[in-house]
Amino acid sequence: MFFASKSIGIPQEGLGEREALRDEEWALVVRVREGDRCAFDLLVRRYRERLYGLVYHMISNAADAADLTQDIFIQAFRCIGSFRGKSSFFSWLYRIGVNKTLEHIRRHRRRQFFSVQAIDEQGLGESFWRDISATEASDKSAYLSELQEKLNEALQRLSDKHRMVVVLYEIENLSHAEIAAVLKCSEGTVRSRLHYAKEQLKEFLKEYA
Amino acid sequence: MSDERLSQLLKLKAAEKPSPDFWERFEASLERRCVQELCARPSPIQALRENLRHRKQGLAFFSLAAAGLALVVLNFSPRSPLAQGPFGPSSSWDRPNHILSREYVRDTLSSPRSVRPLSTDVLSPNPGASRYVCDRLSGHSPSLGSGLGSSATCF
Repeated sequence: MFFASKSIGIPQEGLGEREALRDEEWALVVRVREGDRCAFDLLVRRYRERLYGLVYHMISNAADAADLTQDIFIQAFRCIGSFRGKSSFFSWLYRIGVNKTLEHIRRHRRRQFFSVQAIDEQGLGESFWRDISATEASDKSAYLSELQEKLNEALQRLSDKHRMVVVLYEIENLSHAEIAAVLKCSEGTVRSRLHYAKEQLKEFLKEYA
Repeated sequence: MSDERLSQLLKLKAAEKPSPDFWERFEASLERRCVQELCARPSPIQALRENLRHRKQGLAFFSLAAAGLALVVLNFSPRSPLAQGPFGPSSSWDRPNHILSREYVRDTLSSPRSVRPLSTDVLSPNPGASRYVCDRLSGHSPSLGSGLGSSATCF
């Protein structure tokens, strides 16, 4: 289903577990405020991969993404006193990440170097490899590299706000509600942007249909 | 292209992962930067900026303080509309200042005095009766007009 509910930021098992996760994160935040660096390390380890993924897929540059992800964590560390627990820590951290990333893109709009990373082949489903086998491409790795570059190019042709929604929904697997909370807009706006962005991506990638 | 096919292509992006030793370097670098952050003392301007950015109460306080200061300055400025009163500069609002001004006192003192001698006729239509009353009150002065009329002034 197109508008299927999905969530990784907040577990879907139930309200109780959601509350438990928030309580656990809040306890970690309190410990960081009291000067416990180990608590901050735990928060970093919990969210670093997803935050890095958001930044990397937005700017398509691995080296810059690493620096920017560190900047985001340092900003969170500096401002953790202002986190009041009204939203989840994850939403708060992602909001910092989104703002920092958009700021970076605005600053470096004229200086863009794209790079691709190695693919974790186990992360792809069987159906993907079945489709690859069905293609007439003689060299699968070359085909994958080409596809990666085309995908990067297509994503970069989207506007920042449309790319952000696609990255958060399709790649980071956030739900519409979570994206709305992170971007501080309505769910309807998220759905509308997602629909428009997908239509554009289909047009850009029609040769791979 | 269907939505499913697009989602499948985008999974390729999601499968892009950094190398395993990437996170070790990342953690070491982040720890170093966090320690630098802890050791670095922010300049007063930076501290104020951070404080203002994250504390709405601070911003509200500064706004109120600025508004209060502006009101005080306007109230004590002689040319300000607030100091001229609700009916403009010619109203009676600023009259006390005019009476106490140096120019007014100087003009008043330098103008010739108009002396009008008091007449016993003003006090009483019957001079004889008046004199009699005054004589009775003062005990020894036979004339009322000579004593009061010379010193009475009228502005």
